[in-house]
Amino acid sequence: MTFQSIEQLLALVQDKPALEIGLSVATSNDYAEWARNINRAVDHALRQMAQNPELRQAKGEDELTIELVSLLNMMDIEAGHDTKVGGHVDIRIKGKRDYHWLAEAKKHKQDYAWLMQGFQQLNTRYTTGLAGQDKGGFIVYSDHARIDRTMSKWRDHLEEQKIEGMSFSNCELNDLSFQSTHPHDRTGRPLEVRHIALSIYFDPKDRI
Amino acid sequence: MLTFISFKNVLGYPSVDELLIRAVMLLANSSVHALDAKLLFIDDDDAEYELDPAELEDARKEGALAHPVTGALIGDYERKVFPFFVPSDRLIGARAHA
Repeated sequence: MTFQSIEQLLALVQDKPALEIGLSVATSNDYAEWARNINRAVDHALRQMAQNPELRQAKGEDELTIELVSLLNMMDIEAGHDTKVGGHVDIRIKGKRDYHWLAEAKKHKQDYAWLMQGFQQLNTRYTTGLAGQDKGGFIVYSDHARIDRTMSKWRDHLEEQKIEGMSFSNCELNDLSFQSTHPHDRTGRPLEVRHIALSIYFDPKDRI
Repeated sequence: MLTFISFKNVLGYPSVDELLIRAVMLLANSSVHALDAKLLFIDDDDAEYELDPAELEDARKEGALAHPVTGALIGDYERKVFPFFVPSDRLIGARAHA
């Protein structure tokens, strides 16, 4: 037998989610599928980071982002931090056919204007708006309670900015995330940004 | 046509393992992009059909693959669909310019 079936391959990776996601990224056949699998990879890495908030809540934005990039690299994803693309973007992931997925990451300070500044960096400075490069992420790290409320307020704040043609949808991968789409300033092509949350809040109430 | 088994054989590995899968992934992904992944469906009569990835995606949603010719639904399609790899246009172009 010269072939390995999908069934045999899935059996090999079934207890290794990082490998399964990495394989999905590598075998993606178009940009939309690739970007969807990149989003799965980012969520997987962030789930690892969410497990020990007590060790991460004092960390700065760059430290958290570098850790996220390292976790993505361990999944054989070509991610870099602080890469020069119209400025120094927090995360750049490259794939075949010059696919790009760029993300800006902000540690939330209960200041939505600060988040807006980060979003506009991603929107107007880093992304090209070209085909194969028009999907990205905006990551919000929060060491405050109830990140669901933070993301809901952030979505409202973004909506209030009345960016021309911007629409919103819920994220099918993660109910703490949402997606915005609007025509890119440079190209007019739809720029899809997934707004992604990582809670590093830690306040155990078991102490007397 | 390159398959995981052909890589295993060339490398002299006893089986397809995680390291081998990761090595092939690096060739198929990233800016290296030397290989393109494809899918082959082999039916019970050993007839071979290249599948569009969208057909596999539909099969996953529906729980069955529609046979490319007869349209008959195949429940155990994951046993009959095989990934394979071909040199990418990028690799072919690089060789042409070498």
